[in-house]
Amino acid sequence: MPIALLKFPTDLLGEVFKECNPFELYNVSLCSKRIRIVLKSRMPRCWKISSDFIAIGVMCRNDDAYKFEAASRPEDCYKVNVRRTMQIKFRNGKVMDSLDYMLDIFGCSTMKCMAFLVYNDLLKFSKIAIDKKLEIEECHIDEMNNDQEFSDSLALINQMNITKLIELDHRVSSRIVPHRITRFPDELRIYNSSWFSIEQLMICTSAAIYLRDSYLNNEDMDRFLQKWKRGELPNLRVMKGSSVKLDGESPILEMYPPIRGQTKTTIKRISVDDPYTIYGVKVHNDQGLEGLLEINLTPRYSRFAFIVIDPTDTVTEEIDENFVGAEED
Amino acid sequence: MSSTEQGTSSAAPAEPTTAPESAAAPEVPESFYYVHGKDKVVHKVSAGALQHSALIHGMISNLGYTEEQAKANPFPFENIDGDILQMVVDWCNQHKGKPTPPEDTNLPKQKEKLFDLVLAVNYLEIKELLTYCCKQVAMMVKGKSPEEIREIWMIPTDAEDEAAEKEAKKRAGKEAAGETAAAAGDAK
Repeated sequence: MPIALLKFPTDLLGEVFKECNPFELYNVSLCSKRIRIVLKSRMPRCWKISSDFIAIGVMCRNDDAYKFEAASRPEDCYKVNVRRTMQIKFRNGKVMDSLDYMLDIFGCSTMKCMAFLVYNDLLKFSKIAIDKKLEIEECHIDEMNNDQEFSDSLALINQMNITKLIELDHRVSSRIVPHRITRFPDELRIYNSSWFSIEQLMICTSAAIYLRDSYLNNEDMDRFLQKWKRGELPNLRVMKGSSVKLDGESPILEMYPPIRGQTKTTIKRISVDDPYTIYGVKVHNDQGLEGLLEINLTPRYSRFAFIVIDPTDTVTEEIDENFVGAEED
Repeated sequence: MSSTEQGTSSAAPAEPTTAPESAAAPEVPESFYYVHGKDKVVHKVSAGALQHSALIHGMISNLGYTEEQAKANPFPFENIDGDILQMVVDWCNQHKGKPTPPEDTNLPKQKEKLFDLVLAVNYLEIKELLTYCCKQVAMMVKGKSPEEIREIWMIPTDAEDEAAEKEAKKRAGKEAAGETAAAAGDAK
């Protein structure tokens, strides 16, 4: 029995749309221009969108995403499978165009997560993101075709409003990358960070910095930690990673590596579910904050970890292994 | 005017109490109100059942009617069909003094009445029933393609909307021309 939906008052339409999931809302939006206008004006929730440019996910807060992917055959269009995935025909055959359409339909001002495998996708998306003034919570950039593309990617991400995480996984062939990151989110993760210089690190305002395979040497590490000691890195909570340049030849905060305490400390942040264990040496800054520093030298990649203990957000469990060992003896 | 006695037999049984009889609060007699729809059939409904409707609850909360006054002044809902009002009253009686469970089996099932029911429930501001009704409307398009949705929800195509708009403009133009001609005739 059909029902003349558009004869309902518009506030009532909003109540009906509230009961629809993103698949249904998307299909409704395709019915006509008029329903699209009504739908946009009565979109009931704050939806967020994620995309890796293969599929598009639409979710409400942190719920599981409703995933849209390209239909392999025309007859599969609008079919939903058990994995909460609907097959659709991307607009003009392009994920980007469908993404743009969905941002519009779902009234998104925040993107949950964007993952870029191709520079051109990033280039096109950055225009949309800047134009729509989107907040992007997480941005992942994979291996680009070459260093120039990677460098240009940095220039683009500086123009976007990325708030929670930037994750970079490009392996540079030369350590000279002309563009730098100038806007830092809460967390910065660089898996091949040889290009990320001490000058970059010194201006980094992220709370969590993860630098794998870096070229930071003892002097760099000392400069950065001295800055923290002076209270000039108020956001910093954790910096960890590995470096090919650390050695035992010069001091870091007046200590010669390896720097390792005898107490095993497990740190649990109340706000983040990632317990971390460190054999750190306690250091203090001018603001009275306590940090734990551990540097382990190995022939290839030496590991470093520096954790700031914020008593308002951190639970620490300390075990003196020497003492435990002595008791057992 | 005919009258149904909805709600009279659905008064909640007295709660068992462990307090001594002498200390028990005297039972307040339940008050009733009367409503009718387009068909003028009057339904007697308890104030408790009517609490589901924010509109009626707002109307009666300060009236302080006696039984006779209430009977003499039924609330008229001329925009609601009699059978739809009957459904709504039945639902309010069944849910007097208790919240609606997420899967309410006592809810009206007639699909053909859904459109009018939604409008009535929206007008009477019965939030829980409205949520259920809207869920029913949304369920109609579950797993459907845009083409199927267009049919189920009677959504005109862009071409139909454009044609309707053109027609409306044409009509408005004709009416305006007619009015101008009439005004010119009056002036002569």
